[in-house]
Amino acid sequence: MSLNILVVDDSLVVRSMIIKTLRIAGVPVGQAHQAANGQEGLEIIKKEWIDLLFVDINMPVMNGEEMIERIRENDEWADLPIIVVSTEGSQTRIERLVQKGARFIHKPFSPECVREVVQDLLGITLEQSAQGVGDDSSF
Amino acid sequence: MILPSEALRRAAEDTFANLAFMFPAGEAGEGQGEVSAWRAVALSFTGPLNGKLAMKVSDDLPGPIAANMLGLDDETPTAEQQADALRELLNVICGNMLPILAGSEEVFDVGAPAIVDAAGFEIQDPIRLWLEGGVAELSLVLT
Repeated sequence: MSLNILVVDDSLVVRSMIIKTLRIAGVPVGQAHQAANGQEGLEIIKKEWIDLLFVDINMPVMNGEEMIERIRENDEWADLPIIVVSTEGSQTRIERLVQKGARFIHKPFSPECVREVVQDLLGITLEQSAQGVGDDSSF
Repeated sequence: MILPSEALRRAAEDTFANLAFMFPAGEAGEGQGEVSAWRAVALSFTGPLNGKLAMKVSDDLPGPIAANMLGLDDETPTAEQQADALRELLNVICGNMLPILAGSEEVFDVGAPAIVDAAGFEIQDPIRLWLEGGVAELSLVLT
């Protein structure tokens, strides 16, 4: 089993960190697509099969909240598993995203945290990565 | 109530440690800490509190910051990666500082961080962090 993922963040460094952390966490990443904002992300979802979406909130052109709304309005994508990865500290805003069916990971994040959220969201048990998790490293 | 400078220091130290794996290295000795060149980044935020957050780092820091964030062992990060890493670092510092200052229920709009010309860029009442490999100065101005 491998998961095709889409990482949407206006920071190239953060996109790279998320993909690297997923691999460290033992998530079987297949194709790793990237987009710099919600609009670009939607274009990729139209063309590619995506199993799991990681999205930031604050981005130019189209932010993460609007992207999630567009996804949930579309019957074809309504059940797409979504994880918001953000510095957002407002529980009010986080609750709004959770009500739309998204999970939340706060930056900076550890491989262990990512692993737990992915397992819980997808209802799967991941094999331990060769690189291991739980070494207190965070990104 | 926590002082803004204390909230900033706490958020900055935590973020440097957890995102860039850089830890406070104590105070510089005499003659140390003289920085010949800086790199600077700034952002603004609005909400229950409005303000500007700015950070200057000594010119020797952006490379190691980006390398640590990207997990690069032997490669030197590109200029774009270094700039991106600085922007993200300040973004995360801001995101971690605002709940300390205003509580976790308040909603803020945080603007995109931007690299600014460090030459002549003065920041107001900065806090200074001595880190392994360099120095960072941060300033929070509430308006």
